[in-house]
Amino acid sequence: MKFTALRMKNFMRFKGENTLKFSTDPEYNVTVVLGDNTVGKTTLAQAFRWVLYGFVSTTQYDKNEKNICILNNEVLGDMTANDHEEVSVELDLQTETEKGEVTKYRIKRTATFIRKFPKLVAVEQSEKLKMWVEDPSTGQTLPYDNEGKDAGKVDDLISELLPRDLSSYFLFDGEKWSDPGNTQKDIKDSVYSLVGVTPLRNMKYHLNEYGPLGKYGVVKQFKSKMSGTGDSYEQLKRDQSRYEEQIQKCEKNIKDFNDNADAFEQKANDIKAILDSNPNAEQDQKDYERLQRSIHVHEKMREKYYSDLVTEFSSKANEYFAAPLLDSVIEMIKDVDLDGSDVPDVTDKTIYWILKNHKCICGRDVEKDSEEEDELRQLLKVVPPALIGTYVGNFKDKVNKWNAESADMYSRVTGKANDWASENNDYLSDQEDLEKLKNIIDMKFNFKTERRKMENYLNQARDQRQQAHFAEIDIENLKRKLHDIETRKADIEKQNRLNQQTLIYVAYAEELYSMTKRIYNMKVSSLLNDLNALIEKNFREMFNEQEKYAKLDDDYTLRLYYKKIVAGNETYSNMEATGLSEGEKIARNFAFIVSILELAKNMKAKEKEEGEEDVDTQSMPLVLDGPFSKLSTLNTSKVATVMPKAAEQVIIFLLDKDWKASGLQKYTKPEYMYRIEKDVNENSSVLMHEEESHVSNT
Amino acid sequence: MDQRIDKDKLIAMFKLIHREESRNVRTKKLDDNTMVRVIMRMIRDGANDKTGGNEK
Repeated sequence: MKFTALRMKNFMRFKGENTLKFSTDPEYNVTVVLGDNTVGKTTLAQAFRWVLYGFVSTTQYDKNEKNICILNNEVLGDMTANDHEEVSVELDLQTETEKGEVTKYRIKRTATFIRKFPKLVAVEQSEKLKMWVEDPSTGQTLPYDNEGKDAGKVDDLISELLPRDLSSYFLFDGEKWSDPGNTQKDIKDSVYSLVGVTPLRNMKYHLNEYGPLGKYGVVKQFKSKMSGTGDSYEQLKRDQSRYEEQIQKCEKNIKDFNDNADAFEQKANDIKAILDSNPNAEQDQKDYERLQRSIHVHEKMREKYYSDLVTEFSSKANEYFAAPLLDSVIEMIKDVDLDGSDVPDVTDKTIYWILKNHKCICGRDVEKDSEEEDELRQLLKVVPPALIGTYVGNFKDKVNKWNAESADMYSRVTGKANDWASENNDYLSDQEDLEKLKNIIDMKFNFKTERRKMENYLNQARDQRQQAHFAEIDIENLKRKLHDIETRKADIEKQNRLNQQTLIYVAYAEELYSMTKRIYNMKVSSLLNDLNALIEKNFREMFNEQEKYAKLDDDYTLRLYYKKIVAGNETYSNMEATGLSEGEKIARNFAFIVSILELAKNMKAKEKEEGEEDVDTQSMPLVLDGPFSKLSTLNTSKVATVMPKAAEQVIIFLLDKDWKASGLQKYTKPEYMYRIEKDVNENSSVLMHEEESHVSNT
Repeated sequence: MDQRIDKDKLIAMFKLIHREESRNVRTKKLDDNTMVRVIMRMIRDGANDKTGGNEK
């Protein structure tokens, strides 16, 4: 990656518009900006920081970031209460693929200020970040915003190109050369990022190492998409044919039910036709049946009345027929004393029995020729048969009773006879009507039975239709089940196809993993050795150091070591140098920075040469602000001449004395030599080509 | 190598995923499904996929 231009408007020291173009020539890859102290060299580095990351760093002159105003002071001074002024920085850069395809980018950050009038204080109103990318294949330029729905988009794109945490490797502030620097982890991450190992490491991780046993990795994720389906598919097929058979059966049943219903309805209709065509006949039949029932009842009643009559007559007939004779007898005995001097209920036989036995029924003895005996003999004259008044009286009573009863019997027998006659009349009448109907009605066709039959047929037809309806509901349910089965089968079939597809995904993912692992191992195994070889070489070349060497240890800590220390008779090798001087720290860090950029550059070149897969080594430009201020003239020269070879592009802001000492002139084309000039009476500085500047001309 | 694997497609896939991973590294936006998506899409759509790198 290379920067191509930087345009500033009212940015800090630079009033109005100032433009800086950078060399992209691979041989003459240095762009230099010369200037005295305090004229604004550091402002240029700040312009890079601000346009890329939206901040300016503190300086040795002002440690409070909030106090730094990016609006040019003179512009601010000219503003009135209602004025708005704009500060902007525009950075052009380009990347090149191994195939030589160049993509151009423009990043522009703009801030608008008002003045807190009458104070000389600027207040920022708004800030905007935009980016334009020219697509190399179409030549079309696409704009990107950082706001609204695209919030953070440009920040992301910048992070892709120039990650902020790598900025300390390409945007270098001379004042901070000897800072302790990054942590070991940061160094390791930065080295991996710069040489393109981090994406490989992450690829490996994501492909097959993420989670326990790579559970969340891509390979396992694909494998988890596979699913066993054989048994359940077979079961579904079995269910399907079972349901299909059931549907067929139901359909046949429906046909049968409907046929039956049709047949029943036909029969019912036949009967109905007859019934409808014989409306009176049916009534006659009903009457006929009613008469039959009536005749039957009359018969029964007639029988009963006859039986009563016979019973009545049989039980009382003797009395009835004796009545006239009894009247004659009564006439005959009308003279009998019925007043009854006779002893009631005692007859001569009773008295003879006592006389014979000489003992009264009361237990007293009746002696022969006794008074009692005599009394008894006297009694013979007043008991039957001598006297019969009591009997005749009884007889008369009976005769009277018989007469009364026989008279009653007559009326009863007559009543029964009348009842019988009435029933008999009804019977005969019904019989006559029946005989008449018999002649009219065709008794072979029983309308009532037929009507019942018809209703029975209709009920059966309804029942069959109902059965058919239930069978239709069954079919609907079965069809729904079949539909479910079809869906599930389709899912399984799809899953089976997916399984085939997934197996291919798995094959690719596994192959990608082994490929990534191979490339990663290859790069990492040689990385530290290659880097340390460069650090040692650069350290030696830059600082003409014979006793010590710098080394990045396995723990990614940068240390200085004595090659050899002789103490008395003992010789010690590779002893770490501690308590480093400021110069030593600068030397160590310089060697490291330059070496890492050189390694990246070498790797990129090697990849290009070998046509290897896009492994994305970062080739970074090197922007240096006053890097040599703490180095000796000799070291400046040595360090400086290493840089154009190590970095893809060198942009350097320098004092004239350091420029002369650096020896970078042979890597710098005249059109890429700039100078910052500042009139002693002015507050602002101006950027111009070196050949146009006053300093150069004087 | 599995016979079902097309070498050109595999390399194109590697490049695309690597580019995605590089972007993820730099933007600090790790997306574990990126690769799954890329592999599936490339097998489906073919190896000549030039748009993948810009897909987000």
